[in-house]
Amino acid sequence: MTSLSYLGKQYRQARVPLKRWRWPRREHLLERVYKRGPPPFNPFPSVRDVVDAALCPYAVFHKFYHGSQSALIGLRENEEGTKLGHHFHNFISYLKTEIVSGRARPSDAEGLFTRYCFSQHVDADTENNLKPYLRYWLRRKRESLEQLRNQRPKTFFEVHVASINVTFGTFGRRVHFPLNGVIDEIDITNQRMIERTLRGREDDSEPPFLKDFQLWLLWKIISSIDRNIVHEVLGCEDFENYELIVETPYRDFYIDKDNPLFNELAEDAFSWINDLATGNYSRLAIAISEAWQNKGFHGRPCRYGEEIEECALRNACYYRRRRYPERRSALGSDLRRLCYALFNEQVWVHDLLLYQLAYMEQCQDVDLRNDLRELLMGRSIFPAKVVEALDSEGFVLKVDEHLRGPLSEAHQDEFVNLDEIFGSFSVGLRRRARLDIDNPRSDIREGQIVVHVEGSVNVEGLSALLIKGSLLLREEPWYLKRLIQRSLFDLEKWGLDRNDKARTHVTVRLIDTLFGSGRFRARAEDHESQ
Amino acid sequence: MSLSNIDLIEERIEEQRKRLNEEQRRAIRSILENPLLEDGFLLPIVDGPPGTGKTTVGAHACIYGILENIMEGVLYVAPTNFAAQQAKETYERLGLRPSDVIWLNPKARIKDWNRGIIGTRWDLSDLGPDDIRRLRNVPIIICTPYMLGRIKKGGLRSSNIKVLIDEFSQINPAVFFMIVGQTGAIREKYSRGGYALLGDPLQLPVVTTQEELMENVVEFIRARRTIEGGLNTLTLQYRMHEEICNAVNRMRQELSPWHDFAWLQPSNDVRNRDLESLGYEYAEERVPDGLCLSREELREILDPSYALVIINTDKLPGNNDEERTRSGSLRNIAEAEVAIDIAIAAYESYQAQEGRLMPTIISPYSAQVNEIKERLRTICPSHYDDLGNRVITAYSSQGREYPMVIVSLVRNNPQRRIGFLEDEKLRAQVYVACSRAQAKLIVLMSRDTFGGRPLYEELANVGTSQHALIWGWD
Repeated sequence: MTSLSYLGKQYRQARVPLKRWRWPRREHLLERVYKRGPPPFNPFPSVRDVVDAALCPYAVFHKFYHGSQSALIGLRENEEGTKLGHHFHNFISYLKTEIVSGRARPSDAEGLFTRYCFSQHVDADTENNLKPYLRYWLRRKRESLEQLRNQRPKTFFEVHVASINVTFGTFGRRVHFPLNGVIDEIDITNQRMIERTLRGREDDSEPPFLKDFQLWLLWKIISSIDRNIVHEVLGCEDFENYELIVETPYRDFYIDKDNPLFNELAEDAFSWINDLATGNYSRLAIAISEAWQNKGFHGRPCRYGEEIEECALRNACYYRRRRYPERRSALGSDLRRLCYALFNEQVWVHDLLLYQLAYMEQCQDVDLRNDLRELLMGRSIFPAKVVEALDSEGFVLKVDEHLRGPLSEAHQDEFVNLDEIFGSFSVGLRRRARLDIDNPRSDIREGQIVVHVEGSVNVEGLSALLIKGSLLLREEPWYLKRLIQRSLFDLEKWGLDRNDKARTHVTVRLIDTLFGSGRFRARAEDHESQ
Repeated sequence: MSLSNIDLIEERIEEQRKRLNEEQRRAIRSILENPLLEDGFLLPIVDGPPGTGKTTVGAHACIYGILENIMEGVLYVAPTNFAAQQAKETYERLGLRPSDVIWLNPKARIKDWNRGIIGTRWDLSDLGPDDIRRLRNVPIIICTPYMLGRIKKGGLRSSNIKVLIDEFSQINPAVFFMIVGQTGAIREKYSRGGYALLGDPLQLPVVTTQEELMENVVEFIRARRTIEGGLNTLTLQYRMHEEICNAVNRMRQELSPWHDFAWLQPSNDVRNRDLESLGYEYAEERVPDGLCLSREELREILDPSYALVIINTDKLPGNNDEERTRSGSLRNIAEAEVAIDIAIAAYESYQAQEGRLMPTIISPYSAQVNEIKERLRTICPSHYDDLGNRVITAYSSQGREYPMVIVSLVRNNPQRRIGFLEDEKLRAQVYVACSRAQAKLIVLMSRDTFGGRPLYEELANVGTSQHALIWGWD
């Protein structure tokens, strides 16, 4: 029995399944074509994109073109701040790491929580809000934490997985898709994968809405990656027998991997993503209109006043249109055009790199793999050896001699985003990184550099297991485009009702003059300036 | 919101005010004007080519506005943190205390009220109530557009502020509307002071894959509306020697997409500005032999009477072809060595009372910047501390000026490909690099590769000028 059982009541018409995903061609991957205009391939979707599309196709439209956050946040989390779930999971991974390493006992949990909140700048409200959830969780996990201490299982947290070979399909039809995501926890010794959430209630008999689907997608990704790659990083290769567990503060839910609804949901979601990411604007307009007509989940249409309560984007769909600025529609049409362009830019800059990295590790064509490695080496990727772990967030890395110059070049860029991946891009621990050039241990001429990562890494796990290599990944800060999209959408929705206020409001007058009539001047009039 | 050391500021402002020309005064008046016209809207746009003092105009307007209570504060938006730093330095030169001009920075670990640099997280969770209160009372906050969410979240600006947007050539319409949305689209609070745009439309463009995002905000506005009365164009420059100014003008003419192109004039103070007039004494005998260039050749190039020197790198000995590095960027080792030869020779032979001349080497390619730095470190480690930080990319040079600039264009290949240096907009990097020079500009380029392209031909089109040397251009 899963939470998706009410799928039987079909509201949303199932999207026609895709015959083929729009993949980047060889010349795109090797950047032998000029990057201009709408990209001729689909974005590289994340598990969150697919789950959002399963929740509501219009959420995908908001995500792609308005830079919205994930739609499936859930009522409780939304009420108390979206960071709660993040801290809940992060603290548990910290606690487990400390216990496994023998530095703490389960009874130290309270003290560790205070230390965690201090080190992560968790504010007092968040800390107080988290406590009851943790109390529930600790009460029922005390025994298993004790076992953890004795057993010391090989456990990894926040494992990034990406594959270009995830297969979905029904009635014997199989289609390959790309997909990436982050697994909250993999316990290799006990063969289980855990998705942790704050959502759900004490008396729930089913996992929180769509969380089971989310975990299943992550399991599909890791199962589809080349066994050698996974073995090299995690020391295991077969995920068939792994237990999938959605963990809330109150209960653990074991997920049925063979639920046929998951396949249907995934196909439907990919079909929406494909249609809403098309670079053809007339087709896009049709897809947007269809997404609006199909707002909501199967069996649960979303209407004004009857919105889906799990959706965090309700305010993005239903908002009161105010009277001023009067030229809102002209402004809106320009802003939409800009938002589409910003999405296309993200696909060229960010998603293409994801494809390149995934192909570089997983593609069957050895020549293409080598060409991609040659192309990206020193520009986007800097393979490095971990020389020493200074603490759980600081590492001394050493890059190859031929990459020292490019790394030094990368450091000179103002807007640069660096991630540190322990393992490989396909399977690894991926953390936001900062190069500490001024650290006395750093010597960029020798290729040695100190890197600080966000979020702790299980140092013992790294050395005890097979993760020896690491990868510095350099990206353009593509997420800034999402920030712009969000602001543009907010501006499009914003307005005033009262004429007297509107007449003296600088923003209203700027928009109305820019897109309507009236004098538009750039310098004070001469007679006034004398 | 008030400025702390008013006496010093008023003294400096008054001193500088006398030197402002009529164009600058008019631009300042436009910025101070109420944006709401009876029948329209005033969005002051200051078109300030290199060295014309557009940042000074912005700073004067803001300080005057605060002193006269025309506005309660200023939000200065710069497209990059480099530009933000430049703007902060300009304000401080006018006498403002560093703590009165806060640079809001994305690096959360930096919190230095004395230097006026405050880093914060996106949700301001690392700032205490006292920090927030202090920020609200700071007269001037400088930041990039991506930090405006923090300003909005913390309510760090009051409603009666002026929003100045610097370097508008790098502000596309999407970013402009983001700024408007983050600063003006608030129901109760709105910026009554309005907006002003400062920049040079011909300078560094927005780099993007999308047609819609390529135009800058002023191009966007001009494509939709007629701007009555034109822009506040500044045409008197206070930076470059006449010879360099003429070269820059020829480039501007090539770059300008508009018919209302205004010829830039040097002010009398800088018309004959050479290194000696800047206080540097030239000792020819101290010029050393270089790796590629002989002592005699270096003496000719460094002769203070030449304000503009164009060196044809085809004439250099050995292989002077470009090569692609692993990062995808380009370098040219022969050109790097020539640039180092000239830089070291200038460093050795020009000396002022305050110290030696430190030439700046600018290249559009980051690989070339890295190559020059690395070679400099190996060839001349004793000079590295002084000269190493003077090797920069064209993007990081924007908004700055230097007594002597060496520009390395890198490209040299039999196919005569010059990549983005041919792009209608990106070639502006060369214009930016060249216009940083005050007294001496040396450009290294291959005539075989760049020849025949109007922008580069015009750069070398010096006629019979006595202040220009075209080296190896026969």
